[in-house]
Amino acid sequence: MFDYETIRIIWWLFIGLVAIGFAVTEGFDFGIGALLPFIGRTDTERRVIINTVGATWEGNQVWLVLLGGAIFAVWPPVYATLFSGLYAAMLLVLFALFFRPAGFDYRSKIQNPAWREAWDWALFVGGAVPPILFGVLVGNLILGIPFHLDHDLRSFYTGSFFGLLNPFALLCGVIGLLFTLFHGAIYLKWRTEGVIHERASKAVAVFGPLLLVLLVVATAWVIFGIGRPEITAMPSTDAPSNPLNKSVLAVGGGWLTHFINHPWMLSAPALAVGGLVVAWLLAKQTSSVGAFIASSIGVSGLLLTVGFGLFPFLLISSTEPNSSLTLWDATSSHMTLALAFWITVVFLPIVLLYTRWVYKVMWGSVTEAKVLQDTHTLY
Amino acid sequence: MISGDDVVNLSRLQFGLTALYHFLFVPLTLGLTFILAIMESVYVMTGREVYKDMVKFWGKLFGINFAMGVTTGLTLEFQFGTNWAYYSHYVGDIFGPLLASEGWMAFFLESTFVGLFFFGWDRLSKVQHLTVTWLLALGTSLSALWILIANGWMQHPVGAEFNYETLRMEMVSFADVFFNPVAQVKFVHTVAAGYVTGSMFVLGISSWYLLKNRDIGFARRSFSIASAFGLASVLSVIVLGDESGYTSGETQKMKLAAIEAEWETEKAPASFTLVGIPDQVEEKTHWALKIPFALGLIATRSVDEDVKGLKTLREENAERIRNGMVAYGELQKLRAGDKSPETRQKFAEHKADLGYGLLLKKYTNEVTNAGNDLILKAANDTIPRVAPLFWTFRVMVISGFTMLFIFGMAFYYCATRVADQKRWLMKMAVLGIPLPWIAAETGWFVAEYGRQPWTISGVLPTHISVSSLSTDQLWFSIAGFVFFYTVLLVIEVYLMLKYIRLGPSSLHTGRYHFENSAAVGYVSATQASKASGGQAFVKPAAGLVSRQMRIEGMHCTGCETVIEEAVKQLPGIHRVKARFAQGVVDVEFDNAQVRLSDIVGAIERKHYRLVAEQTPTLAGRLLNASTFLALLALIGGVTWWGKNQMGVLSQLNAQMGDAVLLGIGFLTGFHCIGMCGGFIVGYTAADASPRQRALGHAVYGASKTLSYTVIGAGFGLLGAIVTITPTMRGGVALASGIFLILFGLRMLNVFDGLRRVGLRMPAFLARRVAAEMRQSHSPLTTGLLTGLLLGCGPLQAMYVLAAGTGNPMEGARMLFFFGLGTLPALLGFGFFANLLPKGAMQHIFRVSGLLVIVMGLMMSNRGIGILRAGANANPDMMMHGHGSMGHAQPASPARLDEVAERGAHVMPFALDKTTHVFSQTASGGRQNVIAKDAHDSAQIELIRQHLSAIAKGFAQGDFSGPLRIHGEAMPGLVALQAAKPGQVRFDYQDLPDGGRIDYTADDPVLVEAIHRFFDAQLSDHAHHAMPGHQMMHGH
Repeated sequence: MFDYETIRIIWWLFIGLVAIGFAVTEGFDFGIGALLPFIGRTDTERRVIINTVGATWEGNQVWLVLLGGAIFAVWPPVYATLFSGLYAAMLLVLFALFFRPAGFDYRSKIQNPAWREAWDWALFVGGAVPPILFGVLVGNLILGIPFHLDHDLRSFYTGSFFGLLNPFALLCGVIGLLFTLFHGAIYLKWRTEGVIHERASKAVAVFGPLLLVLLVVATAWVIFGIGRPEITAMPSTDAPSNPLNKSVLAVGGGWLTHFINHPWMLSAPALAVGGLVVAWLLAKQTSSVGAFIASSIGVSGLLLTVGFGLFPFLLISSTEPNSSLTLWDATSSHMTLALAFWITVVFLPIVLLYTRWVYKVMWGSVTEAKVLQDTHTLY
Repeated sequence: MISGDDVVNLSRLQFGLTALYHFLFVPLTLGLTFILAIMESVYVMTGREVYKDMVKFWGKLFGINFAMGVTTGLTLEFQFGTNWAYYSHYVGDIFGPLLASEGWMAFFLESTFVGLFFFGWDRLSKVQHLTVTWLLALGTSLSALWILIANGWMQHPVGAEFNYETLRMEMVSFADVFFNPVAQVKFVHTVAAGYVTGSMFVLGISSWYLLKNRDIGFARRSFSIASAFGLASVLSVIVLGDESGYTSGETQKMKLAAIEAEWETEKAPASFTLVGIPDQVEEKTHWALKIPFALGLIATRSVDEDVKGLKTLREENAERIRNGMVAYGELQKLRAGDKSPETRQKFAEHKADLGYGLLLKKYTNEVTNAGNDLILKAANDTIPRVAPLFWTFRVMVISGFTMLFIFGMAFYYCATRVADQKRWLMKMAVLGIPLPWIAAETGWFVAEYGRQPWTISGVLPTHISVSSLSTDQLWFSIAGFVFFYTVLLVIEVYLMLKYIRLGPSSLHTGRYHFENSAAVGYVSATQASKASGGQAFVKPAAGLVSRQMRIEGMHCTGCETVIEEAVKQLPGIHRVKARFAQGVVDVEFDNAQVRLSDIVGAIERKHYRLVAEQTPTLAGRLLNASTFLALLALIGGVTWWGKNQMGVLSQLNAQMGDAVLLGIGFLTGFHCIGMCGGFIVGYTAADASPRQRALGHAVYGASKTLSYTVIGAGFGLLGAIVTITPTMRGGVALASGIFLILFGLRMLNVFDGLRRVGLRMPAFLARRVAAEMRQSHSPLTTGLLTGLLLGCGPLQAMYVLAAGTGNPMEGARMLFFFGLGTLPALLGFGFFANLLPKGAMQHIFRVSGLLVIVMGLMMSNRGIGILRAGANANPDMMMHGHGSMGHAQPASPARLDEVAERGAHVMPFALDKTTHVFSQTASGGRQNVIAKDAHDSAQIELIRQHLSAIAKGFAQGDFSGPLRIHGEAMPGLVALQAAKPGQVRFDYQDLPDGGRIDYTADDPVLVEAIHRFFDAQLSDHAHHAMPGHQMMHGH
């Protein structure tokens, strides 16, 4: 139905969509995990916080699983290079995520305070570490990653784990964490009353401006401090995927020029900044719904900015620019893209529908009274 | 060549480990969700609350399990990319969309509705909630569908073709992939196995409640649902298992042949090997017991079709490898730009076998020029290791049929409404709980291990599928997984057992067992078990009373004596007998003169403890069986794997010896906890600060190791006084091995009589040492005295072995490492004791008992080997002609290995990197040792050093080197030793890539001795040595 070029673009958008789904839903779960030991001071308060996401965090986490699966399906070389190259980082994310299912599910099964305290910190680790590392990952996507492909398209990563933790990437890591804290606090504020609601409001007020300032710093850094490669020659956009058939210039026109050349792309950073500022302002006005929607739009704009900025690159190689992966030469076959497209078109709406239904059923403020009443059925 | 074997092996290890671990939780999720849905359907239809309680209670257990399933499933999704990057590139086009579909259709469904299942009871109508539960069940089974289609494709890759422009497999027909017959059968087989797991879980636990007379109505209803669903499921598992035999006959002939250990193609219809001992080296199955026709029928559904044997398949594969080489060559041409129709045509004709060509990449990068030897090597790789497949398959089948029996009986008796009278059946159901896991894990093993050497059958070899990683990275991740998974498993099992013990009372409805007896509120697990465990004391009666008490803390016969003495001092005691093996004290006393509490007091003053008598409950046994198996798998796995890592079989060197000693020490450490743990408790005061405790432990550990080492040195010295011959060494090794075996049996505590085995100290000494240690509060004294615990079995074996070395330094070294090995378990005692459920320690002893037996067997085997090497090689054992060997017959394979093993101790260079040429001359002989790689300067240097040293030694009449390698009975050696200095000259000189010794003698008798000595060398070193006049013959 679609030609190869079109469906490649569609899938670039779909992956962006799944990434946004992940950032919006799992974003507040992570943030709430990271805020848990600080905003909740007593066991009951912490149970209130946990139960704001208790029934839905598992579904949210599937966005991450799906993101991995979808990249595997439509950009196999990206999946292979990214996961094997960033081996230690990926495993750390994984290990941190281990704490979450058991943390949510096992914490309140035993009444021992030490047991619960331990799981609260486990949930903190599971909530704080992944967004930092995902931020670091995004930072390195912008900087480029030291990898190359050999003649057989086998990828070799030549950097180290600590090489990933460079100042710019760490800045992105902090931004990742701050966003989840901001987003999570807004959600928490929305779903609670009383003291937790108050504390969450304070958190929003603190993290919002901090996030915006760091975003400005990062943007300036990208514009003035980081080069952007440029494709000088490549086969047509519907050629079979083989990343080695193109030539790439290590440093081209720069990130700002790229956006100026495609002015419509500037809508993404505008959404990001607009969304986050509005979220912050609305949260002050006690409109939690509006704030949540605005911060979701903000993070979508943020991800789109990165995606647009990289376009058509998916993974830039900092050591052998010709090995860089683009959406023209690192996708699956036409047939697979089409198949995955139809599956997505059918199932995405279904998933969104029932997810919405589940949220509707479970909606309502979580209060200490409710949590105490349902000691044996809630987390 | 692509990457180091280590990376491939470690990646496989990690994947296997994490996948098998994941599959501990998945089948239960699959089964329980369906059972929950069935129970809830009954609830909605009948409106009876008990069914709702059933859904909620079994749902709690499901939740505990589900969390682990999610945790471990995430790993697998990440792992294709992290560890199998080339695989991901090569087949992502097919495999990826299947995984993504699983995300869209299954993960979202189950994960979104699982929250509603737990928290939606009050927010949904009955029917709505039921729908949610069914969707949850549907989600889990859909998840299995997609992943098994993906896995089925790995076993039988259909609907895809290689694209030379993108250098990967690409999908050509989704329908073929989806309706892959292997995948379909696999799906039903696996999902049904999951249903069986859930059913067995519910059946077993319900039986336990019934046996304990608890929550009868609840348990009986659960029991019947589980028996019906279980019977239906187990039947489909078995029927479809047979079906997968059929499909694997079509597409995975090699796996089938390996499972059946069918080496040669049999005349149709083939017979089915019931049991036998597969032998990979000789390529045959010993002691095979066969059922005529059965395999042919299963695999081909006909009586006239052949089922191909392994050797036939290997020949076919060699042919396919040759095809694959052509395909590879054409592919290179295509990639170089030659896209002529001829090239394309030729590539298209051969590309189906491209994967076979890639098998050669393990050995060479020049795939197209590979010689016949490499082709045969690669073809040989296509035969998986037979014995593991053969046995795991049989374990799976036996487990399956046992469950069929249990479910069949359970269903029958449920139908006839007498199930609760059949206690034997309920006991069997409780004991049968581990069965579905055993079957599932072995089943996976057969499916995946049997696929080797491929990740994608016939398309992509495992060794090129891996990521470009270093072994360090893999060690990091494996260590992380082992750590986190172990911790999580302990927590999971703990919670699971806690809630199983609580039963439906955990729902706090006020309707169940503990809520009637206990106060309102939370009933802890220990309270629960106390309430259920009975007290066995009978009310006292006047006159003579006999009583059995369970006493904790007895470790040896010394303790028996201490207790007996203490009790005898009381008045009115008629008879007292302590038995440490059983941990009981039998006492007969006059009730009028002495009270039971006095007796207990007397025993407890000696720091032993009375434990409440508990009838061996089924809960206990359930726990026992599963803990035992888990521990066996864990400790055994670690040991086995550790030994593999150290390359026990390939290169025995000094460090290796240390490692084995550490291993034995580690295992016996668990035993020490039982035997000597009390001593540690003795010196660690309860009020000591953690720092003081740590210091105490350290002092104890150091002094214990010190005393072992010193005494070991003493035994070594003792051995030095007596001359040690190889025969004696063998004998001693054999004796120590037998000691270890007996000791292991003793640890297993199966034969009462065995505890008498072992050297006993004089009773007074035993008493003194034990009593001294028990009362000592100084870790230093305690530690130093430990070495004197001569009643300790493994310690005895070690001392005997130390004496066998005949060298005080060696003896000290052995005991040092052994002692070190015991420390982790011993010092971890407190930790273990707190962490593990009650009674689990006992199992650790049992497990280590088993492993000590295995160690003992290995040591005995070595002993026998050494003993045999001393005697002349048995002519019957001479086989395996390895090319022409001149007039020297090669020795038996066992002997060759034996010699190579011992040679490694004596000869510093690697036997397999060197060539030894023995040429006989008129005046004696010439021994050339040459490095195979002329650039390997390290080997060359080692050769030169060694040869010049032994030539010097020989000249001085020192033949200890060959003596140690080849044994006393080496032909010619006695005559050479007897020769006077100067009668035989040994002249050493350097060669460009090695060294040479010229043996010259004038006396014809000595010339003859040299010749025989050379023949013996040739025979013993068959693989590495060759006669001089056939130097070019090589092999």
